[in-house]
Amino acid sequence: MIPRYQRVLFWILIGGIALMAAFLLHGCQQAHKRLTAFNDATPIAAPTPATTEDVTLYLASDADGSITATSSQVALPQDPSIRARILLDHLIAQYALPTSAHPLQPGSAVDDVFLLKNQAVVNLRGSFTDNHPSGVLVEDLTLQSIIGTLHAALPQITEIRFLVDGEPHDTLAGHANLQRTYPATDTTFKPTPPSEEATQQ
Amino acid sequence: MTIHHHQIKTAATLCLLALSAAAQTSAPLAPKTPPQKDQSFYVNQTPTVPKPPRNIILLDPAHGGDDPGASLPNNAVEKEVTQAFAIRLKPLLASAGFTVITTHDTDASLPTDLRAGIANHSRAVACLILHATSSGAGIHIATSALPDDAPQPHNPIPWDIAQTASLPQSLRLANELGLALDQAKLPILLIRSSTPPLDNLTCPAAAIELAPLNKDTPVTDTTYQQQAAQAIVTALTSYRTHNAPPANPAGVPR
Repeated sequence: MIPRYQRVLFWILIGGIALMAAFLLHGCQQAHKRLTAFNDATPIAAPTPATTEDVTLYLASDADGSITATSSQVALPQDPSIRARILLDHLIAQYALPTSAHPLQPGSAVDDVFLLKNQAVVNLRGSFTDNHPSGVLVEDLTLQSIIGTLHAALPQITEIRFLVDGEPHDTLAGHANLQRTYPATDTTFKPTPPSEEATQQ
Repeated sequence: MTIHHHQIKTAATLCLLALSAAAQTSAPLAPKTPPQKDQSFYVNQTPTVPKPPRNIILLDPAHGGDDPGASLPNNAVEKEVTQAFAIRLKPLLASAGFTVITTHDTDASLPTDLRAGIANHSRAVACLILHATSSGAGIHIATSALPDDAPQPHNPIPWDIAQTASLPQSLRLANELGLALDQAKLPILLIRSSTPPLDNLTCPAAAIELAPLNKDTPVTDTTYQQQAAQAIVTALTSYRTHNAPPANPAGVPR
């Protein structure tokens, strides 16, 4: 014969278990609702076919320290900021080719290009600067290549500044100055050899 | 009692105002009292302009301390090569009659602004910033990328464009270096760069970057370094003779 107080305790415990199970189920349902609320089921915009267009890339060569303007074809969007970023990524991709005269590591180089009134702010990726070859000439050529290419694509821009991961940075990879503002100009360049005449000037 | 206190305060204020007015009016008058005798003393007494030394060369081995610079073949780093190259240059320059000042002789990490400050205070006839890289080939000689036709800055000279006044001299210095290295059969490139601290130097300045001579001769090759160092000394000797600023420019304080 089970004592009465034990039966009462048993049913109280059963009731407590049932209550806790109900509370758990309710909590699970609430959490599920919260999580599903974040899932945006809106379909993404359908891709639109973009036609390729001629652009001018200012390509650098480490061997002779030159910057040469070259035509290339690339599909670019209409938004000027995204257009500039894709153009620069296309430029840096040329340097990752095995035949490049200015070899750089493959990978995306530019995070954003912010276009202000007459100034472009190029936000480089930290991974790009970390893997960039270090040297006076090689770093300067990269900057001049970017500046020339941006100037050709966006002639209204007169000044260009550089950031790395959204922050001001001293140098590209230990040498080229990233703290200054560069004039956006045609950076085509071929070093002139030294001459006796220049010594007499 | 209150009125009496107020009167004292007013009188004290008036006295102070009168005193300050008298002081202000007397100050500009002071220079108007000409010296009655020894007028020539004031006319001829220009500050003694010390002759700028024509034999001081400043060497700045770039990088050091926790800034190793570029990674080079054979596990070398740029700071070791620049320091070794400076040590190689020093006795050669000394034997050619130059006094050599270096921004640092030890493996110290100096900010570029501090290096520029040391260089500007050295009053050197030429400032050479030494670099090394594994990219490109030969020797890259860089001068400031500041525009050639920029207006000459007045005192105080802005730090970011301090090189403007010396830029013509720097271009001649780079040309002399290029000629001497070319005669030594070393490939050279004359370039413009904004590598710090080039723009902040008031002395004629060039950055000399050693790159591998060819596939078999890295920047750490001692024969290559010696050849380059000897050509640089030849260039600086020629520069001192032909292109260095005059020894004592009249009335130009330095």
